[in-house]
Amino acid sequence: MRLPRLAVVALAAALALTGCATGPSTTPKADAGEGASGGGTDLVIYVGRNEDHVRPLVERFEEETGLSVDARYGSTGELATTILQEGDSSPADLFFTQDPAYIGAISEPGLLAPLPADIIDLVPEGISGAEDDWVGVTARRRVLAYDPATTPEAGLPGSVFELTDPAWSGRVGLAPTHSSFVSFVAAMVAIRGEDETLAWLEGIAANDPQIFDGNEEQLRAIAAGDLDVGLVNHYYVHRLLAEDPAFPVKNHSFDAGDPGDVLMPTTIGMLASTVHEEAALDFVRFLLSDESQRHFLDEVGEYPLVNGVGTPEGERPLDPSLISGMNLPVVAGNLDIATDLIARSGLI
Amino acid sequence: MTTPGRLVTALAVLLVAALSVPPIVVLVVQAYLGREAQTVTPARLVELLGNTLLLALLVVVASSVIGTATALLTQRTTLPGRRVWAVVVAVPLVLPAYVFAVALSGMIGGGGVVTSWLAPFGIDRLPPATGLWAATACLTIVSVPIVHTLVATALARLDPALDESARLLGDRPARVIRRVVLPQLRGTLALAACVVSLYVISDFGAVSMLRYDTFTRAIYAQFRGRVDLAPAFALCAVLVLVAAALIVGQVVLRGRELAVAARARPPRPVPLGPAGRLAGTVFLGLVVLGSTVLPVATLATWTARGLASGAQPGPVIAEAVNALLFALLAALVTTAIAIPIALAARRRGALARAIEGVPWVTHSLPHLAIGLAILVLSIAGPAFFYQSVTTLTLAYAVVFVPLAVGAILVALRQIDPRLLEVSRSLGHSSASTAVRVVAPLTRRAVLAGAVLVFFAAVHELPVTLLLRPTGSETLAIRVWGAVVEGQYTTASIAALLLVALSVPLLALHERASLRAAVAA
Repeated sequence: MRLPRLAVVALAAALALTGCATGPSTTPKADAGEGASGGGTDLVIYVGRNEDHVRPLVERFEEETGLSVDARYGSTGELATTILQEGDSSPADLFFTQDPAYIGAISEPGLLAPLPADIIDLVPEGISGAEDDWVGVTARRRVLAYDPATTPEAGLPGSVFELTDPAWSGRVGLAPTHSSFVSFVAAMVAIRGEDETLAWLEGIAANDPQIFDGNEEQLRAIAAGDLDVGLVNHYYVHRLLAEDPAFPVKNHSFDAGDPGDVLMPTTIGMLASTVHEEAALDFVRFLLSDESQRHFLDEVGEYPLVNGVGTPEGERPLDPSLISGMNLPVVAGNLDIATDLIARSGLI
Repeated sequence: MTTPGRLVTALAVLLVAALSVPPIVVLVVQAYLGREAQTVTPARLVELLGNTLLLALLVVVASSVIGTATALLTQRTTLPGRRVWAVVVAVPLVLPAYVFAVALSGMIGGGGVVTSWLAPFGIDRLPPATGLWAATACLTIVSVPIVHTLVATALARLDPALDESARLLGDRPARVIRRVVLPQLRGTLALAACVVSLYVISDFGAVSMLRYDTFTRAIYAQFRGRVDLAPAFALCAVLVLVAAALIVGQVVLRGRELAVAARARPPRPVPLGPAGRLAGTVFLGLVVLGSTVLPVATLATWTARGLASGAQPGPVIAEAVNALLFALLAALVTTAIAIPIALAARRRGALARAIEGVPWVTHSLPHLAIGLAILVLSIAGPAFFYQSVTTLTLAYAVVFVPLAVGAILVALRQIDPRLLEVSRSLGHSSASTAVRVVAPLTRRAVLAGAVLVFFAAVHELPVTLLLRPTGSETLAIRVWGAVVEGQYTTASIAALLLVALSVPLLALHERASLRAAVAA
C-alpha cells in the first residue's frame, strides 16, 4: 500500500514540475509559429476589419498559395497603437486597415515600405500614400442612416453641419472611438480646417448624441426605433439587408462635396520590417484581384477600387473629381489632430 | 526556520517579485511619464468618476440586499429544496459579466426575445439595454452570487448561541434576524461591498457593451482611438487610485473577518410557514429566472434563430479549443507558482503577509490596466516573449495566482501542526513530511485552486484582448468582437458555448471544493 501511494505522489509532483516547466520550455517552439522570424508562418497580417469579411479571403489565399497566414483581427485603432508600440520589431508583415488616417500614423514614422508601381497602378490616382507606401483596397462613403418610416427623408440635412442644430438634440448616433469616425474627422480637418472641425465636434457633443462603439449597433438601434439617425459608412445597410431583406434602415447621402460626404478607403500597407516581402506583396495583389474585389462588392457592399468591377447596388458611382478633392494623403496625416480634437470636444 | 523552509520562502519572494511587482511598477512609471498627456477634459473626468462610483454604489446596494436574502433563505430557514437553491443561485459566479451583457441586449429592446414574447399582449417595445440601469442590472446579476457566498460562509461561522438566546427570550425569527444576525454580518457585508465595488470598477466588457461610460471604457477608448499610450495610462492612474482605496478597505476587513473563530455547531434553522415558503420560493425563483434562465434562454433563442437563417458562426470551435488550451496552461503554471507562495505565506510575520498581499493587489487592479502594463513589458522584452503563449500564460498567472494561493492556504492553515511534529518525531525529514503528510492533505485544495484559475482564464477578456498570440482567437475575443460589430447571432453562439463549457467546470469545482472542505 505504502509504496504505490508514494509513487503516485511522486508522479503528481513530477507532473506538477513538468507543468511548471512546459510553460517556458515549449515556448521557443510555440513562438516560432507566431513570431516574426517564424518557421511555421509565412505571413502575419494585422486586420483592422471585421473578421467575417476578411477571413474567407485569407483562407482562399492560403488554399491557392499553400502559404500559412496568421491574421490578428481587431479594431484598426487598437492595432495601429500596437504596431506603433512594436516599432521595428513588429511581427506583422501587413496592416489592413478600415480607414486611411491610421495607416498614415504608421507611415509617418517610416514604418511602411513603398509598394511596387504595378500595385499602385491598379487603383485610381489619389487613393494611395504620398510615398506610395499604402494603397486603397475598397472604399466606403460616409452617410447618415435613418428609417424612412420614422424619420422622413425630406427632413434630413444636406450638410453634416446641420446636425448640431437643436432640432437634432438626442437623436444622432455616432461611434467616436471607431476608426471610421476618426478618419472622417481627419477628412473634415483636411476640408474645413481645425477650428471649424472642433466647433462642429463641440456642437455635436453638446447636442446630447448617443455614443456607440461600432456602426452596425447604430443601425440596429435605428431599426428598433431607439435612435433616429446615425453617422456611419454606407455598406452596413447592405450587410444587414443581406441578412434580412426587410431591414428598414436606409442611407441618406449628404450633398456632394460636403464634409459629411467623404470617401473612406480601406487601405493596406507593408511594414518595412517585414521578413516575408514576397508573400506580403502577393497578398496585396490578391486583394486587388477581380475575384477579391468582387467579394467586397457582393458580400460586403463596398466600392471596389479596381476599375470595372462594379458599384454597390443603389449607390451612386465614384466620382473621380471627388476622389482627387479628398486629398487622402493629407487625411492620412491628420490622425493626431483628429484624435486630439475628438478628445477635446469631450466625445471620448 | 529550517533550510527547506528558507528555500521555499526565497522562491516565493522571487516569484512574487518577478510576477506581481513589475506590472505595478510599470503602471506607476507610465502614469508618471503620462502625467502631461492630454486625456479628457476635467469636467469629463469628474463625469466618468461620478458614473463609475454611482454604478458601484447601485450594484453594491442591490446585490447586498438580494445576496443576503438568498443566503439567509438557503442557510437559515426550512425552505424546501434550499440546498438546490443555494447551488442554483451561485451559478452566475461561473460566467463573466459580458456574457450577461450580450444576453441582456438580446433580451429587450426592439427585436429582443422578451419583447417578442410580450408582443401578443400589446407591448411591442421595451427600452434597449443601455446605460446606467442596464449596467446596474447586469453587474448585479454577477455580484449577487459573490455576496451570497460570502454571507453564507459567514452565517455558517456565526455563533448560534446568540440567536438561540434571543429566541428563548421570545423574539420572533424575523426580529432575531434583524436584531441579532444582521448586525453580526456587518463586517462581511462591508467586505462584500469592497469586493463588488472592485469588480464593478474593473469591469470592462459589460459596461462597454451596454454603453455606459465608466473609467475602464474611457481607458479603452483612449487606447483604441489614439495612437499614443500615454493618455490611457494617465487615466489608468486615476482608476488605480480608486482601486487602491478599495483594496485597502478589503485587506482591513478581510483580516478582521479571519479573526472570527469557526464554530462546529450548526444553527437551528428558522421554520417557515406556508406563506413564508411561498414568498421565499417566489423570490428565489425570480432571482434564478433573471440571472440564469432568461439569459441562457435568450442566448439559445438567438443562436437557434441565427442558425436557422443560415448564419455562419465562424470558427467558434477552434476558438473554444484555443480558450481551453490557454486556460489549461494557465491553471497548470499558476498552480505550480502558487504552491511555494502558499507555503511561504502560511507562516506568520510581515514577510509572509507581503508574499500573500502583493499578488492580491495586482489581482484586484483593473485587468485592463494590468494588461496594458504587461503589453508594454512584453514589447520591451526579448522578441520571443511578445504575443507569445508564454506571455499570455504568465499574464494569467499574474492576475489569477491569488485565487490558487487562497485555496491552498486555507487547506494548509487547517493542517494540525501536531501531525507534522509526529511525522518529524518518527524520523521523517521535512521534505518527506511535505510529500507524505502535507501533499495528501492539500491535494483537493490544489485542484480546487487550479479549477478556479482555469475558469477565470477561460472568461478573461481585457488581458486576452491585449496579449493573445496572433492567429489564436478565443471565445471571449469572439464575443467581444461580434458585439462591437453588432452581430448578436455570432455573439450569442460564442457566449452560449462559453456557458456550455462552464457548466461541467462548475460541477467539477463544486466537487473539488467540497472534497477540499472534507479533506481539511
